[in-house]
Amino acid sequence: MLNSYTTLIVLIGVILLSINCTIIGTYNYLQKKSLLADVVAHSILPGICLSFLLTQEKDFLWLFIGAFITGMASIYTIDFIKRASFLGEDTILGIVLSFFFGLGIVLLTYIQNQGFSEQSGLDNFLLGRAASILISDVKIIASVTLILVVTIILLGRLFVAIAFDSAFLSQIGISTKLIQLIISTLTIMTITVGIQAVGIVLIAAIMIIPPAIGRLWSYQVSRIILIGLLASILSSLIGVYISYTFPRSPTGPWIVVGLVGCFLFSLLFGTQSSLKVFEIRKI
Amino acid sequence: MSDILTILIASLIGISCSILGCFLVLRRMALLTDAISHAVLPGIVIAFLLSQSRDTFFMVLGAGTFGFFTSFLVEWLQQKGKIQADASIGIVFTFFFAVGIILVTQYTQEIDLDQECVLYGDLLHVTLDVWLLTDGTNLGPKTLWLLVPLLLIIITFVVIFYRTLQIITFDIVFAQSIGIPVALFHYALTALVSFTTVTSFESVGAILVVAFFIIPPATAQLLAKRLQHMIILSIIFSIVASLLGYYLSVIFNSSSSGMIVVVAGLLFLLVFLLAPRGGYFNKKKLSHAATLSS
Amino acid sequence: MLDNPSIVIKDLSVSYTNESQLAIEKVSLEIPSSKLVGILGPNGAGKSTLIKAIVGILKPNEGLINIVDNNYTIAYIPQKENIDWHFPISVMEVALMGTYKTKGYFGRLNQIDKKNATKYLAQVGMDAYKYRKISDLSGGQQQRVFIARALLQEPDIFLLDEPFSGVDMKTQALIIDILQKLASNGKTVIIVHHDLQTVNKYFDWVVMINKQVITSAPTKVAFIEENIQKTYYTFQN
Repeated sequence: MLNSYTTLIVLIGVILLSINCTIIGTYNYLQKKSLLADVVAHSILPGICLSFLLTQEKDFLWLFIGAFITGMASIYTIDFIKRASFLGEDTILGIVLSFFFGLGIVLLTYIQNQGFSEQSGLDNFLLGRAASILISDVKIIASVTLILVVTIILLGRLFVAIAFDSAFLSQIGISTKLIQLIISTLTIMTITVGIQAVGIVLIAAIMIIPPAIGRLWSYQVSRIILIGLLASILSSLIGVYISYTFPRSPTGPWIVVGLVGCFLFSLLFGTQSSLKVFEIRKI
Repeated sequence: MSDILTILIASLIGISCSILGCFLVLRRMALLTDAISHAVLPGIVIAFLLSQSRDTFFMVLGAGTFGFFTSFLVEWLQQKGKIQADASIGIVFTFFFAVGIILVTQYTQEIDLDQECVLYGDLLHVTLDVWLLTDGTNLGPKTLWLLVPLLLIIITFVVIFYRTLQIITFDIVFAQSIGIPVALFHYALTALVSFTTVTSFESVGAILVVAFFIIPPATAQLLAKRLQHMIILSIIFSIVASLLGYYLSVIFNSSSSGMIVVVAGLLFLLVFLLAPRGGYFNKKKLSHAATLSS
Repeated sequence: MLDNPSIVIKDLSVSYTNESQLAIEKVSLEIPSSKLVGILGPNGAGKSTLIKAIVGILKPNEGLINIVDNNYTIAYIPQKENIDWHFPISVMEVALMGTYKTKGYFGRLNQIDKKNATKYLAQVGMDAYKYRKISDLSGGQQQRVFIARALLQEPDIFLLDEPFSGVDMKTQALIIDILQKLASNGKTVIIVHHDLQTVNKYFDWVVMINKQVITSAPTKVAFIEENIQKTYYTFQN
């Protein structure tokens, strides 16, 4: 299958994308903020539509700026309502997610009904189309991977510390707000470059499931990421392969099915799983 | 005429969702609706493939079963699998949704289900999908024939078991201690949520239905002093959102379900900022009460 | 052996909710009536599990719980911390929940119920607040409403799970006073308690547990340094 150049491009793009999602997803998971990624993914839709309305083109930089603004807005709205009201966190997440997505749908349908010439492909953001990944997209995805890897090497310890001991961080004079802002920015970046390929709903899956898989095998952050990466790369291969073999089948959903397969396997055999079917003795 | 019918359908969905939503919001189960609404998609397709018909009865049954199953699975992963709560919801609903999308694209010719309809529904299309008898009698939109009985069931359930539901929702451990079969009511509520989700699916889609369940009750909770007031207020908010949202969507030529959600969200924001007791600008009172209780 | 125990527990083992691990193991106890009984032990010692098993919320893995008089009814006051106090409900409505068990699903509330609720709210000094929203009250006042709800059940056995956490000393004294009166009228009152400073002042009888029973005896006999050491500072396997 690798004979085909376009498939190779798609494969590389999808794998890099899964790597991005797994890395940043793990740090969100550690903070028990997995569903925040889902909210953010839904919330960047109005931003993308707005910047399209203003610029009338699908230039990545502008779409990213739009996505960044509404994505950040959703995170700060959640914080704001949480601090100032007695509503449960689940309720607040639900309100913000559905409100921003509703706004996105309003703008999207407005654009579609206006009949702009450039608008085709905007609806790819909803469910994703991996086949539409071009070499230029791969370059963008790869730069995000690079940024992520460099940031993690430099700041990875702080990202872990904020999940377990944020009081300690403030004690030694490191701004937890700044760290949180960096994590949020990286999350939004990962999602924005990824949703064109796998869509708004399913990108959250690639951020949530790999760390959950990793956690079933280890409690060390580095190993959670490594095992998560293994699972998400394997699932990406499965996804691309299946949609290559059956052209009607979409890639994103098959990646998720692959991930859930890995998850079930880990649930049964993972060394840290409470449901493991047998004990592996330490040698 | 079709304007009124569309608003009626939106309002009926809004009322059913709000009534159930009050209990979900108060019991901190709001995200369950998110999980269920995504999970009904494969249910709808599988029911179609098994029954070989778009008979609504099978759809509701199939999807309802899936929705029900989802809530089981989420709980099971959390309790037996010891998976973090946020992750277990995330895993289950994305998985079901992925399977649903695979099935929809696979059988797209056989089943007339638009991929986008899955996400945000199409109120206008549903309004036009009328029930015609063989002699040509027009019985109105098919959805109404599902929505009205469903709403009646929900109202009957809540009115009869009002006190029971109030006790369970307020203090579940006390409810257990006086012998109320808490699990049974939990499943009844889940079942009603599933059926409501399925029935609303074609009109408002998998993601926006969450807003119908959560936003009006949350808005009402900011104002209400009693549970019955909260239910009534949330009904009012959802009707206002349906009415305003529909007309705005006509003006701006865009998705009506999306616009209804936007209006509901703005109403929430308004109440959140201005509410006399819990409102943001009256926050001082709130923090005063907090210092009293601590 | 007690002369007139109201609850007799034999070899009781109960696991945590949804877990296989045992929270209490082979607990045997006799609980006296007409006394204020405190259940003491460190976090995770199985105190709440024990009283949840007595109420019947948790099913025992093995062993017996024998309520000596079959006609005895139990009122249970859960931990305040698990409640969402922003629930839209009035003080009166919370108190009236105490009538539910006798009314059943379809019973309607009548004037007598409301009169009773007012009476018991007055007993805990809360009748002036009966139409207030529950979130307007302080922690101590909320606890008093819960006591009124239990009183309305008119039970023979009262089980309270940490009723004093987050409650000021004045309200604590008021609640203890009410409970003491109940005990002297022949009721059984069992309280899961945390604060070791007040044990001597509050209780006639203490049960000290840490997965197993360390002691169950009158406070003067049981609440001594040796038993405190055993209960709080010994690791149980």
